Amino acid sequence: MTETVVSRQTGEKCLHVRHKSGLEIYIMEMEGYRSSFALFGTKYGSINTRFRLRGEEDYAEVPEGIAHYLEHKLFENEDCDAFAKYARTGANANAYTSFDRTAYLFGCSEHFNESLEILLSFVQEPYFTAETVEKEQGIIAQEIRMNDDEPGWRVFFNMLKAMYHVHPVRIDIAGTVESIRQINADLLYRCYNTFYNLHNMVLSVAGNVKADEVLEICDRLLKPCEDIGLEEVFPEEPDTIVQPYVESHLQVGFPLFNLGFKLRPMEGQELMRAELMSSILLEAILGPSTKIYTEMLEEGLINSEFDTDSPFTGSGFFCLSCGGESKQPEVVRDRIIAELRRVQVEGFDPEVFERIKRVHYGNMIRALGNVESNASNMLNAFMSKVGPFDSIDLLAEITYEDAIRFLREELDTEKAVLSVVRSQEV
Amino acid sequence: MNIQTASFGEQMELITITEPKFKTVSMMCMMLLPVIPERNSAYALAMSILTESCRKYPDYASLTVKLDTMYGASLNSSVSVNGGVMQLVVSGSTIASRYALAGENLAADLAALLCDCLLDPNVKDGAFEETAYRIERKELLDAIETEINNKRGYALIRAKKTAFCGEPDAYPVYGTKEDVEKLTPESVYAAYQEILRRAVFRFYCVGPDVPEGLAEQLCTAFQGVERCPEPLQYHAPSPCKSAPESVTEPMDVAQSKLVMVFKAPEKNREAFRLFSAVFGGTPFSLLFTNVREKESLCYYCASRVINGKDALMVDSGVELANAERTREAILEQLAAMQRGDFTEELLDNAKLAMVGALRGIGDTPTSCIFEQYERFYTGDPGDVEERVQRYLALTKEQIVDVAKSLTLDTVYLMQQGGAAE
Repeated sequence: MTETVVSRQTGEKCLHVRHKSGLEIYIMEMEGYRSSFALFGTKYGSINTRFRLRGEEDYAEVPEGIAHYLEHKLFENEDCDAFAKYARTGANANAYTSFDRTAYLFGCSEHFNESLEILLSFVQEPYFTAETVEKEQGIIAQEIRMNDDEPGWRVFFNMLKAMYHVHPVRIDIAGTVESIRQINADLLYRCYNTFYNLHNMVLSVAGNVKADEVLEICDRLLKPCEDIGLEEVFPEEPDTIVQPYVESHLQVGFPLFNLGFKLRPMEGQELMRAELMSSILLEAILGPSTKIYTEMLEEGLINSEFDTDSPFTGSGFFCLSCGGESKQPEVVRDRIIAELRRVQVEGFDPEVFERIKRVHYGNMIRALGNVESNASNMLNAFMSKVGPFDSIDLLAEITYEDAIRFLREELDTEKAVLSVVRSQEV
Repeated sequence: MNIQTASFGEQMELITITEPKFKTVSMMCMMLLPVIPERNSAYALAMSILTESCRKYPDYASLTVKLDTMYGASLNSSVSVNGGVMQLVVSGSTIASRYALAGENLAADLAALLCDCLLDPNVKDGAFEETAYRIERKELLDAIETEINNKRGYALIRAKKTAFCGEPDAYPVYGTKEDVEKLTPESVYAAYQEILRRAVFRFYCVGPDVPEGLAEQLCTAFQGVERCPEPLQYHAPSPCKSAPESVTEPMDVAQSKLVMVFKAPEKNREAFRLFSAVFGGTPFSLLFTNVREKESLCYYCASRVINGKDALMVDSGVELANAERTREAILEQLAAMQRGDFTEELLDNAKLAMVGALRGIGDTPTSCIFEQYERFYTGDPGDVEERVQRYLALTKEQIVDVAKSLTLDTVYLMQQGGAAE
């Protein structure tokens, strides 16, 4: 199946192919650009610790951090590592693992096709031995330690732990130094064979690329596979939060905080609408042009580090948050909650809503001019089960009335968590 | 891509880059002065006040409303040091006018806004307005205080402080808490006027539609500004210590940070950068493949060239028990390069990486600006393709020469498990 997807708002277009191998492919040719970017991703992240395949009775449980471990190890093939292969094409390669996805990527300004061949090959050729798996433990342990010292990372993860009782979004993406010790080659192969099935994956490329050449490489290198009927399962997450306040200590110059609200999980188009509306609402209610922001800034309660975050969403979780630096985070929390409750009752100026909508439109236009953003956004759209231009098209349709209804019906300020990181008092 | 240069005053140049494919228009005003450490705080504070309000938009809220109506235009300031030069930057960006929903001329709006912020600030009785000053002063103090939050960045700052001790660029770019506490709305306004008078100005504008008459607009805006620009000296080489200096700082952290600073007279800019790519600047470099991959000592171990200082830094996050072995392993890889013990293939691959990065310039407005700026501060008129050819022509012997010229100057260790002073 091949279709050209066109944005109603901007006229931008890309090619969407459902390849015979099972892989979904998105290609955006960008005229006049020299560079290109490619991502090969799977719907497999740190939250996928429990799963079963069609015909299996029991669910498998795997150690925390295994998706991230697999990402590290996949770069190593039997003959040599993928970085050594990319080195011969000049591509700048990397990979990332998040809560619900893993992606292997490269950017380049020359030899795109050769680099794409490397990408498709090494991700489809796992090679793990007891020795190579053990070797990685020291490297990943240092990555975990590095994040342990990162206050922005800690304050966010502590918030998730205080918000979610059992959902695996509460665990660190890389796992713990202890959990990664349980990972071995057999477990890696099991997870690889489960989640790196092409029916669970996407290829997204943008920039100085030619669709017919990309598809020719895909035809040649993709190994057709059967849809194995992957079933992910998450523990039943209560509707409540775990605790309203959490604090931890790191050596910081100034306390950091995250204030989050737990919302009902959503998916697909409903989620995309909710994400757009909540981004606009948070900016309109708490952003730098508002009275509450100005007052808190002038009173020294916050500084310009204060910001509203993009909605944090995925399979079974939805959290709205804001954060920054403050010596009195509890006072900031109380002021913000009071303001949200006031707006839920009184509403706000619809012109402000239209103005912030315009900001979002501008941000989307900016992203369309960037090779890397286009490739990433097409991958993200696939992961969210929506079309690549749905967000910019949907933005035009959202009204103030939709947004205020969402705020009243979906945001429960009783489900707030304040996470604070400050230095240990001596 | 069409690049034009025009003067709008003494040592004031406008560089316009017209590129139809871009969907944004970006402007960056660089104000360049010799580094005077005791002025760092005042300059940094002046820059942040300029981008948070102006006479027309007298507080951050009203300025934000203006930026929002320009489709979420950005307006930022930054301060940084490049060798012997303080780089003060005010920049903004918005979407190209062809995407404006009501036919607004956004490029012209952005130029006007930047001129308002740069030349018509929120001033009362010869001083910055009190509220804006107070908020930004707190911002600066907070920024100084939170430097420690980013442990990797903090370790690099501390290593530089030892490596370049006594040199102007060893001083914190925002100054110190004590420096900020001495400032007043009057003294910061005086510093702002000093910037207008003494700085060399480079104004860059990149987009599909550069506003017509921008040079004239800038000429008019800067008319009446008394000018006495100072000569710039980017190259500020740092003398190497007779013996490496080691500094250990105990801190309450889970991971130790090791930073090593090497110095060498930089004879060939491209050779120095290519050396770094082979040594530790790429994921196929000697440090990555040996220190990380073979010995599993760390998650990152990377090298970078420090502009204008004839110096190179290597940094790594390690377990304290492995810090000494990591230091040795880094020196072993340097020794290998000094012996020429690396393959031609590795060198060719590093060249490919450098060439790839160079040829990608032109796909983002920021990279276009920095490429033009680099030509200015290096005095190198060579375009991207000329520099590509220079990289391709470099030989293994030239890279070995760079390796041989490097001397270890400083070793900084942030020691985990300790308590900071």
